[in-house]
Amino acid sequence: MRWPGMSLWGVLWLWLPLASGHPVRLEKVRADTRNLTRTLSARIQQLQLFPLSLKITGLEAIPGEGAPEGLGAMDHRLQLFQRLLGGLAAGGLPLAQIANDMENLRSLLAALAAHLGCPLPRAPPAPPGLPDLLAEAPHTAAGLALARLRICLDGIAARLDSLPAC
Amino acid sequence: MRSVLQNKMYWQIILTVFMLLDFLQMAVAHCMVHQIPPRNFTLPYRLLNETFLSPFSAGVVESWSGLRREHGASKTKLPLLMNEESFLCCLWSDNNIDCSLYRASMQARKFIPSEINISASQEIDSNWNIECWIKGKLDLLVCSLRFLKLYLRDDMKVDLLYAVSELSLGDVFTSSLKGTIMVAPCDCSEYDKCECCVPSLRLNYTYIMWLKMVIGVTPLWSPLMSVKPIDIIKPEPPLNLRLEMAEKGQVKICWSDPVLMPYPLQYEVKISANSGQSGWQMVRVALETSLAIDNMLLDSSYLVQVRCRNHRGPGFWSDWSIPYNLNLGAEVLYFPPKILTSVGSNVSFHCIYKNKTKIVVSKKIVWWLNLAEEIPESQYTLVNDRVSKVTLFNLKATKPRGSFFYNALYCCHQNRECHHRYAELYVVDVNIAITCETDGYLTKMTCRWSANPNTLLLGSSLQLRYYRSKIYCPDFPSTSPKSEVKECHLQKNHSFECTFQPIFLLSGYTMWIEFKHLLGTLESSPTCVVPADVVKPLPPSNVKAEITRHVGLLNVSWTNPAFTNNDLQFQIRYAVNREEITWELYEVSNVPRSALIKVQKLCVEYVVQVRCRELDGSGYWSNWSRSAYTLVKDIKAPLQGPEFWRLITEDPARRQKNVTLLWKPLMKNHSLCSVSRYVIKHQTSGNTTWSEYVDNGTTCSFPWIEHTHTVTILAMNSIGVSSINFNLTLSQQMSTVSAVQSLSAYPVNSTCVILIWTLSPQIYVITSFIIEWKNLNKEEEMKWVRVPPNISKYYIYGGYENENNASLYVVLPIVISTSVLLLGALLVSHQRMKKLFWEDVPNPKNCSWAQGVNFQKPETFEHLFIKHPEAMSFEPLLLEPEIVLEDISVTKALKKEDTQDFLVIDSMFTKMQDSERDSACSSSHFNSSSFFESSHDDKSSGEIRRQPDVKYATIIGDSRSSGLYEQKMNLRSCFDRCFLAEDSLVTGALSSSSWEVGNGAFLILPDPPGRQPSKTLSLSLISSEGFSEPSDQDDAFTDGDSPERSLYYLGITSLEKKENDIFLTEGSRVMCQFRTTSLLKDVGFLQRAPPNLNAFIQSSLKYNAVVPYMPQFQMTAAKVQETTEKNS
Repeated sequence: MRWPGMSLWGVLWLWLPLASGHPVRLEKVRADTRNLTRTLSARIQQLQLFPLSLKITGLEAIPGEGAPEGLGAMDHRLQLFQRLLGGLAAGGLPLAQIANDMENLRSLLAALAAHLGCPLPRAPPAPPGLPDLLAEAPHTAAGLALARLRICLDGIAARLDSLPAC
Repeated sequence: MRSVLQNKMYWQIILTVFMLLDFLQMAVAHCMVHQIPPRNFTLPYRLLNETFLSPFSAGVVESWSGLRREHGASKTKLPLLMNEESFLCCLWSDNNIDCSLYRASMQARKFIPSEINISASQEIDSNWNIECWIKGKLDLLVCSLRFLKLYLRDDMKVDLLYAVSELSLGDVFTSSLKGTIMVAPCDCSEYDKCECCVPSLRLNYTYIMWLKMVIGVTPLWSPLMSVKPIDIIKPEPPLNLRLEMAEKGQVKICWSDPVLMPYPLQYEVKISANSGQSGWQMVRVALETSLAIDNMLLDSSYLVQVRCRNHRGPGFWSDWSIPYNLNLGAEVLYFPPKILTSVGSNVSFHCIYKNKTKIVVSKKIVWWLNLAEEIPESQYTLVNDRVSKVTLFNLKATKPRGSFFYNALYCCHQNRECHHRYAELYVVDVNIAITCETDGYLTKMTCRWSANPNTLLLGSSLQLRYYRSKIYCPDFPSTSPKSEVKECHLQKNHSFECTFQPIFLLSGYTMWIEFKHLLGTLESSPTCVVPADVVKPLPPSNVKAEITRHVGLLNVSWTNPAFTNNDLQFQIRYAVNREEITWELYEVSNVPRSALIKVQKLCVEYVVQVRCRELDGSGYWSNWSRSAYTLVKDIKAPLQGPEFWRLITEDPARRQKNVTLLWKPLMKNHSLCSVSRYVIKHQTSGNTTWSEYVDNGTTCSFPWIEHTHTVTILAMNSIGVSSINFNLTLSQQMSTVSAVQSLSAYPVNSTCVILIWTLSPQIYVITSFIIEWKNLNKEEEMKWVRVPPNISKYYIYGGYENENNASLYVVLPIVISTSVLLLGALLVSHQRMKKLFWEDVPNPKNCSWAQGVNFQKPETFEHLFIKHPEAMSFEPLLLEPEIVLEDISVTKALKKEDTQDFLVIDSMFTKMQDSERDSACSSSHFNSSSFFESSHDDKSSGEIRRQPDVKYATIIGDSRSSGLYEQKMNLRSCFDRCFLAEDSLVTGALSSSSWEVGNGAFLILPDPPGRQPSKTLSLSLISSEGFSEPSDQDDAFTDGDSPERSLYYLGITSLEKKENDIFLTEGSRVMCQFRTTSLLKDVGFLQRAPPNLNAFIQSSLKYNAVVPYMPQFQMTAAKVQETTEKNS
């Protein structure tokens, strides 16, 4: 009768390193995610397309600037921005680098969500009129999108200071 | 019912008629073309006459005579282009062939490929037997004709006409032959055979051909033929048949494909017994260029032949290859014959060794490397009776030997007989490290790797392959077929550089180097890099550096670079900004962008740079930032005032002494960092004080009027004035003390003189020496230097070269034209120091205590101090009448942090505190009550100022002597009476020179601890102005005369003055009745000057008679640099 008890303790001891290893990995992913959002924000700041001191109308297809709450919402928002920048990225190296960073960032968020056991987010529908907007006013779209993305990233970085919800 | 059947029949008839019409229509619209097969075939020829005029030719009739004319024009063997040609448009079936003469310009007809049935053609007039093929070089189509019923005639002429189209036959129309028809003449020189050649082939085009033959005047034409040359290729036979060994010792026959084959081949291998043996034969089919055979075949003489043909399409078999004799060709076989492998790997070779015709059993096989090194038997394996295997372990890279880039492995008989064939082993070092670096902007990752060109094989190539993981690296990086090749650029030193831009910061890039060679492909160990882990940040910017005021620390501040997080570590390197910069390193981590560094030198310009890296150690150090420089500015008030000394000159007319203060410019480590002005504070015995300021220069003069005059020099900068300063108290009363027993000066070279001195054996506490010297030849001012008490030699640098007679240096080692005076030393007795006073040596006639004292000897003075050390409990106040003649003191509240700056002072102070007894001077000086009393009596009985003609020394006091001064004024001791008055006989000469009153060595004495107990440190600099005149020995000083220990006046002069420059050494004796020491005997100085030289000496030496018992030198110093023994 002693053996089952011993084996249970043995199993628990075996699980200990696994349990202890998990937070370390999670912490690294979280730190990398936070650093990457800051790097992206700094990159956008360096681009300095133009300061947004004016209210610009007619760009409803561009995602809002409010920081999303959960990991799924973050990915949702970033995916919208990614599509938007995908239409702009053909232009130059800085935007291509931002696009790469966005992809990395989404992968990190996905890894974070996997660590937390969050369900896989669904792909958001494409905003209507986006191709027309990009063709009609690429400069405005780029400036506004990057500005809003930066605000969004700063919000994500702030939420990542603690463990975000799904 | 019947009518219905009839109707049905009618309709059937109508339908059949339409079908026949349709067939006719189709037949009319086409020409059938015979497709040439990859074998010989039979083709009918038709006699061309008018009956062949086509019923479909729309009235266009071609007479064959016209054709004949055209044919007559083409007699060259080269193909000719014809503008328009006629051909037979035939339709045939199993039992009929119907041809008509046609022309390309007529209505277009379609070509229909079809075979001609030989049986059908036999019914026709005649046939040609034809075979067409493409030769092995694929550039020539050959058609061979044989006539079945005709015999060749001399007047027979055959041409092959053809047209080329890139379309397939079904897409070509008769009209496409217009203007494109070529003529290739045929060679009919052989019996019943002609050969026609079509050069410059296009293998995949469609060739439409027909034959025209004219026998006499009879034209014979063939129907149209067509062929794609690629379908009738007859390859060259396989080449290079050989035996090779397969894995596990199996033997196979191998061969090489003929060149230029446009498609894969299949092979037939024929193994047959050699001639003379049985006619055994075996044919096998192979799809590769090798065929395994039974090892037993090697024992007999079998022949092997191979032929080939198109594997997947039509074509001819090639001829059989040249026979290969298995028995002769298999003397030694290796497997593998060549191998390419990487450093550190293990490889095995197999061998079958046949010595001529006899197989060597495997156990008798030995292996040699490069014909120089026998491989140990332990590495052999016997695979079977015939096959031996050797394994080489942990291979090292092959070093090229001449033009051979491989190791040769030989399979030999154990009787040391080897076959010349060998296996080749290529070992390449593919341990190529790849290092990557991400730039500070996080947009570009540059990877570098280098390969040693000496280890690379000829014809090899290196390339970097990589694949990217979505995020992070796999736990075990491995190569993958999904990798990509990254373009890299060759840099200097055989290194390559590959750039990834833009990058995925958090993705894992798994990379390796692929080494490609004909012998195989090798790969380096894959390595995985995450760009974010190999960042080389931008250097910190906005770097500033300054020395903090009051604190004196190097304050460095900077701004963190962009694209970094806050977890950074920094390295700060700083150095004094000069030509040769010696950096010092300072490391800080996680600091708020600034650091304070303790530096040794505060008053120099520092150059500072900063760099950073990730705190966790990943990545690289950034480049150093741009340099920042500190400004040299005042940090604190000067730590101390300048050291100074004085010159005293006397104006006989006005009977006034003028004092010139000389001080050393304050060094930066004391001024911290500059001196804006010097403040000279005066205090006289009348308690009058005043200050004066010197902005520029290091001298200051003032008249010495009062009996005592205390001077203090302070240094001032923008922060404040120095807190520790030297005092000098001038008194009209002077005395000297002797601490220096001997002084020698030797020229080291033309610019340096070394001074060496020894001290009296008495135990003195010497605080410092002052050396004075002057270049007599150059009318320079007197120079002085203060040196620490713990040295006994000193180098004076400057131009001492005797230009007129340098050889005299040999005769007289010391040729110095600068006089050096070393006066020295104040001693402090064993116990605590209180005060010491020296006054004039009393005249024994007037001073009872002085009777019996021999003032010629230093011991005399020593005895004065140490003779009765036990009687130390004198009252300081009693000494006040003898208070200091000259006194320099340093007073400062001693703080702990200042101790380093004042080591000398501190040590002196400590010594004095430790002293529990009065000093020897004090004790000896005051131990005799009779001495004191007598002096007191003498004073009361009146002063006798004219008697003494020698001054003597010295002493000490301290800064707190004002009270003593007063008492001194009141209580004139016997010293007063013994004092050498200015109007004395000798004093006249003495006073004529500043040396007499001003030159000397002295010591700095600390203040007695009891005097200023409140952390006050007092340093006294004592001037020894002279020693006592010769006097009668007192009973209290009973030591006998000792010339060696007597005080003397030492003079050295250059020998350029020859005999006239007799050195005064006995002058002191003359003047002071001292016996000189024999210090200079060794160097040839006169010890005793003749009496008649005294006058000369006095006149020739400027400072001749001054203080005869003071050690002096005369040197021809032009320029003096100083150093201390410590520094040297």
